[in-house]
Amino acid sequence: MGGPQYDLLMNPLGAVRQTFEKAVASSQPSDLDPTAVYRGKDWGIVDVLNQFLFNQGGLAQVPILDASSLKWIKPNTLVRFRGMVQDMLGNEFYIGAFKDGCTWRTNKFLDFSPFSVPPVSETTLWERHLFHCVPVPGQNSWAIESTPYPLKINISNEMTCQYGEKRRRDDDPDGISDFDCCDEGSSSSNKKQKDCGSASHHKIAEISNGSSFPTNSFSCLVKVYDMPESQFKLNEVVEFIGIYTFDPELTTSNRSDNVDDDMSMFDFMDDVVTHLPPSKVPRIHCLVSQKLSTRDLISNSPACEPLPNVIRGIRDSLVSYLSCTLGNDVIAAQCLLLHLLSELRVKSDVASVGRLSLNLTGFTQESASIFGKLLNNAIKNLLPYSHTIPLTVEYLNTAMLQPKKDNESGRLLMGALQLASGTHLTLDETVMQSGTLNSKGVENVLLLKHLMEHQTVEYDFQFYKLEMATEVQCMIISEAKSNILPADLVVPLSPSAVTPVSASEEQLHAWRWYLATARSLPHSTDTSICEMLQNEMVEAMRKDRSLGCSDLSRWMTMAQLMAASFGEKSLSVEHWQMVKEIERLRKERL
Amino acid sequence: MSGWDEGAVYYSDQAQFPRGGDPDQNNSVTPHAALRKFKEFIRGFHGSKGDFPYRESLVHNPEHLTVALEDLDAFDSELSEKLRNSPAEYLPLFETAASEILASLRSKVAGETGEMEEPVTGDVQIFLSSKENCISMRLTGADYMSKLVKIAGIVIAASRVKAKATYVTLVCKNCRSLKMVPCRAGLGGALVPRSCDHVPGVGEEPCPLDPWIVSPDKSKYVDLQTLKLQENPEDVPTGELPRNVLLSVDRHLVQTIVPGTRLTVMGIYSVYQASTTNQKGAVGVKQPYIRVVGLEQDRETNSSGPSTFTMDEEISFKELAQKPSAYSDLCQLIAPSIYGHDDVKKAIACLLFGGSKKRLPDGVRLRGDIHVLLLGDPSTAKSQFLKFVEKTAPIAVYTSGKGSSAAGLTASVIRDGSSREFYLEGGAMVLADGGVVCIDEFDKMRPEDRVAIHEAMEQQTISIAKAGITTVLNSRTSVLAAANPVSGRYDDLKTAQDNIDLQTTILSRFDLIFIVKDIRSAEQDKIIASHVIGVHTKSTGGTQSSAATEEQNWLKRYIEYCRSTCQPRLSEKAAEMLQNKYVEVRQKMRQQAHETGRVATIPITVRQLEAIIRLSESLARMRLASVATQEHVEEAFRLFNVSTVDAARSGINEHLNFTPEIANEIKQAETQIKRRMGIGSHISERRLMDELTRMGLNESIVRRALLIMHQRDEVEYKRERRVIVRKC
Repeated sequence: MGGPQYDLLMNPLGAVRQTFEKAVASSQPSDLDPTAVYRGKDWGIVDVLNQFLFNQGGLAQVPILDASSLKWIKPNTLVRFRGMVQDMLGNEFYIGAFKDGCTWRTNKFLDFSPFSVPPVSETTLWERHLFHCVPVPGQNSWAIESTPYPLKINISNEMTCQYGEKRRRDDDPDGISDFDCCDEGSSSSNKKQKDCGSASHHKIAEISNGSSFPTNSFSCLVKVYDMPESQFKLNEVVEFIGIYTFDPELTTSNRSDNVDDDMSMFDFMDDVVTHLPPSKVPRIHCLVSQKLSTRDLISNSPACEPLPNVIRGIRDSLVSYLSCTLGNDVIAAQCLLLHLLSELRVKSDVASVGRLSLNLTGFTQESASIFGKLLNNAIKNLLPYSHTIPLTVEYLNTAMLQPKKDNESGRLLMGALQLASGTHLTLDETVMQSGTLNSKGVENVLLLKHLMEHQTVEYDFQFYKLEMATEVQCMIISEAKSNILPADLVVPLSPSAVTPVSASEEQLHAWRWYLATARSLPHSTDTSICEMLQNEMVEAMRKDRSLGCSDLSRWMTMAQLMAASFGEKSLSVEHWQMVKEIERLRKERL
Repeated sequence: MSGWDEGAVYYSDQAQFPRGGDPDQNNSVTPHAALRKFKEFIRGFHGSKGDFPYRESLVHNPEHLTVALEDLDAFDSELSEKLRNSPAEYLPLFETAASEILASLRSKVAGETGEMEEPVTGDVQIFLSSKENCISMRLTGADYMSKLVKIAGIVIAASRVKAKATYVTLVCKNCRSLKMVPCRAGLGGALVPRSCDHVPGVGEEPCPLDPWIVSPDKSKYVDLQTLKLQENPEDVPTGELPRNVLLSVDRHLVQTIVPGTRLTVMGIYSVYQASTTNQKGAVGVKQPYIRVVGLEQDRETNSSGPSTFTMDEEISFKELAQKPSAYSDLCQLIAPSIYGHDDVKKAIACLLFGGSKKRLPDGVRLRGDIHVLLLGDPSTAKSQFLKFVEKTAPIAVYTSGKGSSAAGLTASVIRDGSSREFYLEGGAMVLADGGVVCIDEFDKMRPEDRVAIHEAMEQQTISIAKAGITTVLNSRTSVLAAANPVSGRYDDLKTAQDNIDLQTTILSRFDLIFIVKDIRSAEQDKIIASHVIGVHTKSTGGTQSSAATEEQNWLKRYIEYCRSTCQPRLSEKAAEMLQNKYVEVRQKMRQQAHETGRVATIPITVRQLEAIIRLSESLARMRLASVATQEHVEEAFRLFNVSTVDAARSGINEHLNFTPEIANEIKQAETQIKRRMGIGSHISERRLMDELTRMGLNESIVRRALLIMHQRDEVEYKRERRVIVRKC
């Protein structure tokens, strides 16, 4: 395939058109409808793109679409977008191919046809899937990839003409003041830099008074083609590479213009997309997509194999970093490490294996402000996605934790518990005060409890509820053991000193890599060690009659995580002894 | 013609199918021939009993006619194939056929009665029904376009009823000529021509482009309503959201459906032009919808109504019920991840299946629900049992005694003064009518709430007094409760009142009371340990868990099936046997009371007799048997013995009358026994008794002390209980 003949970056649609025409031309002339073969299939454009992106290093040149780059990225160019599948809007049919005179043309990867559509008999309907994607909730700044600066400069040359485009994009009733302001700004290119700030300020103002759509965040409507069923699951993090389209005509079209639209009198006839105006929610026509795991977020990971001594070194430095954050409490730091490495592996009917929720107790109002903050920062620095929920009576009574389907608009309203898998959730009980929970508060508490125990969240679909697997590591910080949300591991914190916490970017990077790698290690346990463990457990139970299945189960989880923390795939006696020692020291504090 | 909301010009979007199709085949059934065949079908199709179902139905109900596609298949498979593949063309013909038949039937009737009135024939709407399986909403794609599909789901919204034009009358604004234009079916609009075909005369101005104005009062209309159908929750693949599809219903189907109904619809899969992109030059984005031509409301929506089970399911249920090992197989399925506690599992199986409800001639209702109390040490998997039941019972509510009240919707966050721990107190406990309520930490329930439970358990109602209004709600529920002893662990020495903070009035309402004690032997510890290790080490594959949930779902369905189809009664022989046993037990009790001079605190009364009957019935129900036999009564008695009677014996109840003095005496006896016997030594029981009575101790007190020590595993009986060995 000849790469250079297409400018895939700036004019991907040209490549789409050319490859299509080539493909159609090469088909048998006897075919009545040469496009029928290409329904639900690629005709070579994806190959061309893959070649360009992955073999010719084109990937780095593709700008990332986000709230800031939206201002300068030109429509109909190639963009990258990383986001979580927040809502699935089903599929829509579009006129995929049609005959314009005697040549076949395609509308794939387009919102609009540049040509007028001929009568129905000369068109074919194709199908595409719509996903509403948002930036991953709780994504920490280090995990957000943004377009490298030099690329911005290149493109900002075209800024002036771009401004005109942008103006039209904001062209809706409540954007008029913005319009005037921008006009001034674009009149002189010298002033442009200065005014950029004020323009964006206006943009924010406009959004906040903007109507139905809650746009404190940025979201994307991704149209995916030729997708096998169940390719993407809800709350998955995916990188889409595709064509960003924006057509001013779409925004200027007002529903009241459609005089001949005799159907507007029927309810629910507007498809859900009307609630996502293109002026606020950009469209991406996806060409290539890839699911992202937490490991993919760590750029240029050390190429070396996870060697035991390397891992051990990183582990030791991480434990000392964590213990610094926790006021030199090594036991708590060890427990925290195990907690950070925990991941739900199997769910049987009543037991979920592998999770290790943590309850750090002993926080007072004062220490919460110091250590709570340090801890929060540490987690933000180490994990790609993290989220904190303050457990106050007011919050529980008012917050919308449960994702809920709005059957009026057909949208799934995002609740605070719609989280990507692998998100870390901190529940701060130190701010709790006595009070009364209303029915919503009770519901929210039950949701949180259910999440901790079963790692599922019920989504509300008005007439029924659907449980969605939600893999989230939960940590509670509280003054005394939390009875509202029971955790697997309760560790009273006993800080001895407040030490300054510092970590270099390099260290942080190594730790992130370590956590992502150690988490994904497979676990196995030899039968010989099983025998030993069994005897140890029987012995322990004889000594302490209060031990139950949940304690034994916790030990097993901790031992396996301990092994993983050393980068080892199988559990050894050494790890078991370490866990026993931690448990002993922990018990002393209770 | 038909009055079907489509004109003679067929909706071109739906007319995609003939393209590329075989033109010869199309000709074999011409519209005219099809019309004739449809008429023959309605007139001539006869059912198995020799009746003419469609002709008769049309006479009785001339407005619409429901046709089973299977009948049409049997009549003329070619015709039904045509109808399936291009319903938009053939259905209007079918309707025309029906209304013509109706006209002919009517005139005949009129002739017989002698009146020569012209028959009034209305239009007939044809509804289609079929027994075929529904296809998934996800699979409907371009392949199904314009074809007949059958899908199921829940209606989540319904629009207002609108009038939809079938024929629009247009007026040319220049020459005033009229034109009737048919509308496209379903949600399609009218195809308005761009120019007037009026040929301008001399001196007349030619009509301009787009001269037509719609004249609404001269157009024809039908009722139309749009519904939004959402995929059934059980059809949604894991990790996906349910899909929606738009439905359009017309004429007699309008306003028959309210949101929340489960529906199965037959319809024509079609598309309409999305209004948002109705722009010149816009890529035609089309939204799919289904034009409904027949719908069926699922009875499952009505929770009290019987659920529908597939043939396969019924066969698998009956197969299991036939097996001799059905009972033990079912008990295996109860909380498989919990080790041991076989009798508790059996009791829970009984609770899930339940006995039969009875209504006595005087209107008194006897409950069929079985209440079970699990009492015992912490971490003995009590909560796991409750969680399992919550997941498995068709209707279940799980609540913690600490965080719930019988009624009411709010809860308080309370801070414990000493430990600074937060608790939730009071809360929502919407009793699951017709299901199971699982109450954890039953002992920590507030007394006033427990009183409400009290009422709910026996009278099956609950009274709520709020703001001066008292209401009585039905609460036909089983209660599965778990309680901890007051001190956290069960102490044999303490009285029951001290051990469990529950009144006997509430205890006696439970059919089965299990003391789930952590009786541990090294052997058992080992099995527990290896079970835990097993769960953790085997846990690499996810297949095992999905099999487990499948099993659980199956069990859930089976329970539903048994509860809805089977209402067993005691057989005569079993009743007789029960009678004898009851008399026997009462006699024994009287004897015992006579000997010890005390009355047992859980006496075997009519209430217990009822419990045994319920248990026997539920055991029969597990096997889909219509009568409970002696075998079932026997097992019920056994369960009752190992639970409630054992609980009574183990001390809860017998110890009830312990005075502090007696407790003190027992303690003294214990010390004496320990002094007399070194660890590992053994002594004959007789000799120990003699020695201790000589020291002035009461023999019965010594026996009791020994019993308690035996329960604590401190002493062991050997050689037919004649020799006592001290273990620790």
